[in-house]
Amino acid sequence: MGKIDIKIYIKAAFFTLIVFSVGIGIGIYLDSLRISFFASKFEEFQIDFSNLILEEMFFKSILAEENRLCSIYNEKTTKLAEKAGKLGSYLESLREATKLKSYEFEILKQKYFLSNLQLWLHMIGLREKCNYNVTTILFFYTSLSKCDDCIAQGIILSRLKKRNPDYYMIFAVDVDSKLGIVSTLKQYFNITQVPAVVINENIKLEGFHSEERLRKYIEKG
Amino acid sequence: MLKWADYITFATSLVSFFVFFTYFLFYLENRKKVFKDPKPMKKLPKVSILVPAYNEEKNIASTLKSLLRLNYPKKKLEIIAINDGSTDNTLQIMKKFRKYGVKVIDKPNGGKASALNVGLKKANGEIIVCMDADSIVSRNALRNAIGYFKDPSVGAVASSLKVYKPKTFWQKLQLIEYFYNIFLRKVLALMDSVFVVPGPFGLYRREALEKVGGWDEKSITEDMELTFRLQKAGYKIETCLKSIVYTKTPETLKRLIKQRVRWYRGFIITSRDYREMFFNPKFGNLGVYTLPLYVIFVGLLFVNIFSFIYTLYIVFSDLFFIYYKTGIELPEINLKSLDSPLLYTTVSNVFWVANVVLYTYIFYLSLLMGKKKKVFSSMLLYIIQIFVYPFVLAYSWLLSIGKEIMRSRVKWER
Repeated sequence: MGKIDIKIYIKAAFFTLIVFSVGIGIGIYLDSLRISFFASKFEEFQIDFSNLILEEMFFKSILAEENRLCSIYNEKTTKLAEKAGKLGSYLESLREATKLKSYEFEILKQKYFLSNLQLWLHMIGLREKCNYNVTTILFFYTSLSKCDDCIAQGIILSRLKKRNPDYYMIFAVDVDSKLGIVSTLKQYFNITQVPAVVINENIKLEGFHSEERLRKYIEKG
Repeated sequence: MLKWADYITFATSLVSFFVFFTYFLFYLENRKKVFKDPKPMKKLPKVSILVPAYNEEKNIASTLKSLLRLNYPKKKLEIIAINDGSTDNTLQIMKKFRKYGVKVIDKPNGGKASALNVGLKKANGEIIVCMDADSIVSRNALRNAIGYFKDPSVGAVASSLKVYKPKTFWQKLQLIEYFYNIFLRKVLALMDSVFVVPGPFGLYRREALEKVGGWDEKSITEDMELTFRLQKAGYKIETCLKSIVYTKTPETLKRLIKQRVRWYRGFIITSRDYREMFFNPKFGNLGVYTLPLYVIFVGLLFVNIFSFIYTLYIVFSDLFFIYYKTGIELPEINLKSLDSPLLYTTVSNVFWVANVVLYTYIFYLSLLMGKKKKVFSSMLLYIIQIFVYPFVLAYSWLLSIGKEIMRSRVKWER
């Protein structure tokens, strides 16, 4: 009868569990790091956004100077949209790395989408009111399933933005988001597949589109 | 979100952490014993060294010379060189050593095991040593190992194998692997779990050898088959760290894979023949831990290699696709901004780092056991080995399993 060193196996199992738990603990810590990083960036954005809205209210209600509002807002809103864009680019890569606290990240993501769409509406309002020369683009993509076309379209759009940052205002929308506003938008613009791009709320393009074709449509619109 | 690749990492890590701790604890609890070999008996036993050789004209002389230099009373040492039907000058070279007392047997070709069995019949030692003709033994190897036979339950003693003058890249990687194996075999000995006493300088108690019926002439890994048989018969297998033997290893990748395919097919065949030992508490740690673990190890190796290759394929096909669609030059695609590497370190990354750290420590212990001097350069090689070797092993295992299923004939490769 051979010897089975059961004591050593129990000890080894115990240490294994400890090291494994420490690993999971570090994983959770790293996830929190990602979440707090994104949350703090998002908070900065929210503060700026609230500030913008407050200023707008101030000019509207107390000074009743709509003209001045337009001259100030152009720059401020553009900057804010840029910030939102940067946040968006962090969003997916950080979400991908967040393995153990993905629920918390999803909540943050929803909050971000809400603010982002608010900004989009705000932008539309300003464009009408102040006659801004900007193009708003809604970009529908999916994060739930593999969508290489979405990634490619995203890259094309950010390249477009890079060429003329003050002219293109791009707002990304994850179609798999459970937010009511997302399904409303999907319905309104009749989005049936991703990627999809809506230019200035009137031109809908589904599937992948090259930079050249996008530009053509934008010029037409 | 957790993906299947993460679950593979978790499962692999659970197994590998457990293995690390069992090995480490066995080492820790026996650390005083590890480096101390039992002293030789006052009355040294008679030892017969069998050197089977097939077409070894380049190596046989240095092998025999190293045996003649052994620090052991000449009266108690018998060296028997067996020419297994070589077609080169091996026999002529062997004959030159007759004047130094080397006995030479010439027989028609029949394989290593048959040569050893012929030698065993002619040998008159109490201890029989199998010595591969492509290896060189250190001067005190025999004297250091012989004391283990004072324990009557010991059936065999394995030596510490080192790579003889590594020149090529692949030999250098094997050098690292052999160091690792020195540790592994010692720990396995502490667990009474050694399942192969390698061909170069393996010592056997004659009585045990005869009781189990000598070497199996049909086996392609006769050393492993014999060890399984000795274990099954209840003999203890020991390892001697200070019994050092240098062996020639395959120079090229192709030959390395051929050698491994023979080893692994040998393991598959031997495990099939001795399948009742797996999960059998009658065989102690060997039955419930070491043998099943080896199978799990091979399974995890495959799963991880598959996962790695699949991930790589996905990443590159995505990059290619995006490049094709957008025309952006690849370096421009900055999918992840590098604010802080920590931001993109996942829980799986943490586990891989933990694995590397733990097993680097084992490697460090291996270097200690193997009395390796150039620790730093070995560490560098070790890092390279981590990235290269799993693929070589997995590929060899794949070939072995495939060939075993196809039942193709086995060729004996060094």
